[in-house]
Amino acid sequence: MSGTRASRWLFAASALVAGPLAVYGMSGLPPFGDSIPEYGRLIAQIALHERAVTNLVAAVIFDYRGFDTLGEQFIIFAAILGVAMLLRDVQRLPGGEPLPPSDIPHRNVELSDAVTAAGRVLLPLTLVAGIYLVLHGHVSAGGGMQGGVVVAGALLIVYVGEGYRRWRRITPPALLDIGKAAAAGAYIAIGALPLAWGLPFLHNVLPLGTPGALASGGTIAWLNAAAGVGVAAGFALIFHEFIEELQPPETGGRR
Amino acid sequence: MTPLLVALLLLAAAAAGTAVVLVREPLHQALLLGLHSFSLVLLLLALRAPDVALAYLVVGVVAEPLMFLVAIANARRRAPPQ
Repeated sequence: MSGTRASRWLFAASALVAGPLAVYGMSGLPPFGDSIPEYGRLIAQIALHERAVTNLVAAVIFDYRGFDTLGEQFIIFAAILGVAMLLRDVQRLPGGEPLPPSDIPHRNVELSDAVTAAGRVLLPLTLVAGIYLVLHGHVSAGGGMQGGVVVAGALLIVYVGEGYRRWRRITPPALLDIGKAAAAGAYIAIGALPLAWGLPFLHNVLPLGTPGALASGGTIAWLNAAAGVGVAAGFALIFHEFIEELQPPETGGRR
Repeated sequence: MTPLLVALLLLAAAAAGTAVVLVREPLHQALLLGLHSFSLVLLLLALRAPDVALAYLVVGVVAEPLMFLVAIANARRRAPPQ
């Protein structure tokens, strides 16, 4: 009881400090929703001519702030590594030999026909939507990050509708590992390409094309695609680790 | 952008978020969490941030509640009601 009371006092004390600070901090913000900051106005003026993209968000993410996005890519990379190291464990055969993960037995859960049927309708639609979002990231709303998450979500429909085995067969973790690493490597490779000409890291060296066309934006389109592959593979890997964790113990799961 | 719409969506998000805490049944909590996320998706759309809304649609409305649903299903299968 006293612990609860102490934590309440602690909350009250910190709320008394943090509350006014938050109000003070927010009082300096521009009026809600009616002004475009200087930086945004500047980007809107130059991005279309300079980088030939019609989605200015993509221009910021993959060009003007492209180096920050490289950092973000590696934050996701580190997060997946952390999840995998915490959750992945090696199943062992009676002799002590590690069991290949694909051989770990899993109980067959009875799937509802309605869920399976709905999944088979939704999967292709969601997958196409995700790929569309990735490919058109530099043209319209969306992009590698958003589309990649949608693609990974579409793959998750396989788990819900078709069960664990098919989900595992359609998204082999070894392939996802390669996809994630290759995407992160591709981002650096595209960024390093201009160094060969003595130009700065992530400088555009590809033809810009016509704004609004699929083939436009130079390096932005390729960095965007790399981010899409990386995020899709990364999220699918995270889903793998958690779903693995949920398999019942008598069939090889953790708990 | 209409401030009224934004205010309504903020209220909806707050109501759904409160409901997640007040409802004590885990299955209902998972579904309400999805509803809460969906109201945030609509809020992001109203604030003209379709990029963020798209990503949040999958993470908040699909993936996150699904993880809870799978966990609840597994817990129930392991400990059948007496």
